[in-house]
Amino acid sequence: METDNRPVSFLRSRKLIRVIAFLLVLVLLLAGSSALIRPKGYEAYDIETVDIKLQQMSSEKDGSIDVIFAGDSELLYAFSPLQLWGEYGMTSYIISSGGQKICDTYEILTQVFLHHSPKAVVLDGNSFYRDGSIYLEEDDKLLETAERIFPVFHYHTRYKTLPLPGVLMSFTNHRKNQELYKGWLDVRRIEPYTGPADYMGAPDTPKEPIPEASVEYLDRILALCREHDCALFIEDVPSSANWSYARHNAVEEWANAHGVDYLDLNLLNGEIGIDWSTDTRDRGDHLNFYGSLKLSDYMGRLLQEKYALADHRGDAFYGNWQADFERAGLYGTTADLTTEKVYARAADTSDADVAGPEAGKEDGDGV
Amino acid sequence: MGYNAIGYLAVFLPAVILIYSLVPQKKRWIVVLAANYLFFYLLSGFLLLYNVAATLFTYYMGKLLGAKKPEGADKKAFKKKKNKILLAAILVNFGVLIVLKYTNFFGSSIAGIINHFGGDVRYRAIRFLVPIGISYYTMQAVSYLIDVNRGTLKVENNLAQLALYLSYFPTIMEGSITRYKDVAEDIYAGHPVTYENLTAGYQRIVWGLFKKVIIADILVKPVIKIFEGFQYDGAVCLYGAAICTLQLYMDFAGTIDIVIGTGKIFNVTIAENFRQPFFAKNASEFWRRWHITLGTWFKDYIFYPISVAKPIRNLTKKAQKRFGKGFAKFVTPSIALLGVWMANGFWHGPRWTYIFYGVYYYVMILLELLLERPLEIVSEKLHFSIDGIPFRIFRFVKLFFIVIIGEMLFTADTLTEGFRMLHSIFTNFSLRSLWANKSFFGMSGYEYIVVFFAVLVVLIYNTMREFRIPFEEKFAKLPEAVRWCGWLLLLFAVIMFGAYGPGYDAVAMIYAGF
Repeated sequence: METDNRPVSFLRSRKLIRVIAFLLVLVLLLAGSSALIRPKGYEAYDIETVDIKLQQMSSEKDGSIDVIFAGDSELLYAFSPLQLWGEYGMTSYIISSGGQKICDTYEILTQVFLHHSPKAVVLDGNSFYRDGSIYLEEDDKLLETAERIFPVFHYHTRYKTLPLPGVLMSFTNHRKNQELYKGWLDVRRIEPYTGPADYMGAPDTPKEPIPEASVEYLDRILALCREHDCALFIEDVPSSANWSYARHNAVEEWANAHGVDYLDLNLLNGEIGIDWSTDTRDRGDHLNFYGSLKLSDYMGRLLQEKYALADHRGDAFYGNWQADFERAGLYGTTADLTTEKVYARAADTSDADVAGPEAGKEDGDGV
Repeated sequence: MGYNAIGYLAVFLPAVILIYSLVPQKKRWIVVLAANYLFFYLLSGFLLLYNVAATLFTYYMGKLLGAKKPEGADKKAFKKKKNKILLAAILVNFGVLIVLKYTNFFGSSIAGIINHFGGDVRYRAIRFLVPIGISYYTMQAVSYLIDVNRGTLKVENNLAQLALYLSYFPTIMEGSITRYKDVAEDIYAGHPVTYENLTAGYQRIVWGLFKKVIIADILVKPVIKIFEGFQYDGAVCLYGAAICTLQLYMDFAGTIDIVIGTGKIFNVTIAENFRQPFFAKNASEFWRRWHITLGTWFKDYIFYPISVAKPIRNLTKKAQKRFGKGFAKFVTPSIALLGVWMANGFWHGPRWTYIFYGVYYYVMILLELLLERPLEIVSEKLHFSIDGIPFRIFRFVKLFFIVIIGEMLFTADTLTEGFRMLHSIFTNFSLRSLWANKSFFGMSGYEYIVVFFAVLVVLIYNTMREFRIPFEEKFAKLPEAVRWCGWLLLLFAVIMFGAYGPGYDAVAMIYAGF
């Protein structure tokens, strides 16, 4: 029989079965890898961040954390758990990262509550305004669909949570010390904010609505806290670049409607003593070490009073906290942490790294 | 939607393949044309009309240029008339491109010059909407018209075939810049999508994804961070120059792999655009291996016409009489190359950095040309072989630096910033500073490992290609299961390590701004 050498469409060829078989194998592998890579018991928009946070926290003894701070990069530089320990003997942890969405905050909290019974969760309002849903891909709806069908497309960055040798870890500067500092980041850079002091605008500015997806997660966080007998406390870290009455009013409305305490620290800049010429690392966007000294002092006192937090200094169960406090060497001894001395320390900016022409350098707001 | 988007790879392209294959061969060109226009519309909306208008205009002009000389008419006069028509057609085609993309550049530059001399004018930019691929399809249209006028190409009477060529969806965004005679017939023919072409095509696509989505897309963030924040740190700038070159190479070459792979599926042979450029001996050869189709376009339509032009030949003769052959032989290439490199710089876009880029390579290549003979003499006198290993290493290092410095100046936001970076390389070079700042480049240790190994894989494969080691042949002999594993491994590497999704901002395709 003469073989026909004309090219044949793959649809009419016997080899079509191979195409179908290959696609089936591909689908199976996508499904299988998705099942393997998905986290068990929680989800995440940015799994790398969430898993690193959980990894960092896992070195704390179960049941040892009194207060959880959660939000985005605003919080990351603002409250120092080691200072709170040194000054008040309270234990806290920061589960924030740059650009963290509230859906990830919720997911992290679900896992945190499995190991700890904090008295309060302190949530920063700025993170409410980042549209938060797990699979959201604003620029690529088809990719979003692919991620929902085969979560391997969504969770593939999880490979970045595997352990790496030290020298390679040093490429990710912001992870250095973060575990020691209990989630806080130490930034000595000063880039003053020189704009108007009343950046908040007029008190009767119409509300800027909180995105729907974020409200959903707020409700879930509240329910989670209530379920675990934990108070929810909303605050806003002073930030001339991010906060305003428009947002304040919206958050206050939600807080009042749900019986949740809300304190906008932006309205207490004077009382706290925020000095915009020294306390910000990037022209009012985020605070720095000097701002954090003041804010931690203020917030620690407030939280200890409000939630009757015990002073754990001297308690053997919290031995690692004193050890970590001393190892970090940031604050001297606990005797150096009186309010007076803290503010004096904040005024001494001789060890600051004043921003030079390399303005693009960032100390990583990330994990 | 770029060529690496899931929308293209898993929806658009398979849909086109399926519909194309279900339709009888004679009607397949309609499917392709519809796909072309749909793709164009998805990217540029109603600006599609620019492409359609260019097609109709080029078709009509083509018919004029391809007309046979009427009996009794004077040959020379007829030729002259056609050349005038050709010139008009070229001016219109390029005119549209120039108005849309360069008006603001000219306006603000002229305002700048006036202000420099004491004036006080402000140029207000006009917001032009620029259709996708205009730089590419305009080049293709003009190549068609010139070839018809030269008589090397038969005029196309089938409007559909010309339309297909000028709007072809695989090449519309980033090239390759194809020639009519190489692709037009095959695009129109509606060849069946065979199993062999389907698999070979998608394999090429996956290889392209490996380069672009892993290597190029991971490097986008560090390139931006270095160019914006470290202009005064010499070692960082040099490192930035190297990675911006790697980024651009992997982005462009990877995208071209996807483009060629797509063509392959439909049995359309789209020209290669890269041929292991870093194996080149010098800058001149580099540009015969990098963005090849741009180079050949300039060679055929700028270099060659200038070289054979009467005024240039006369100039060479005069130079020969006055200064001798040794000098005169550089007259033609000097002028022709100037034309080519001004065009190259300009083609890349309305920015001084691009124009300087053209000047930069003009100088480099001219220098290489002028130093060719002196180099031979020196190598004889000093008894070293220019083909020996030590000299080849020297040549590679020299080329490497020429290329990365060029790309650094190309990538910088402004010429001032580019020169600032260049200056800092010579005045503030500190490896310690580079190491101290490594965590600010937006690239984690994991990504360094991924990029390192991915580059290694590409390097090994490219080396095999350069030395004509028939990898594909040997691979084809392996058992089917092994081959499937290989491709699935490659695909899963892209899925696992690719720079997409949470943590990675949308990466615009670099060469698609043209």
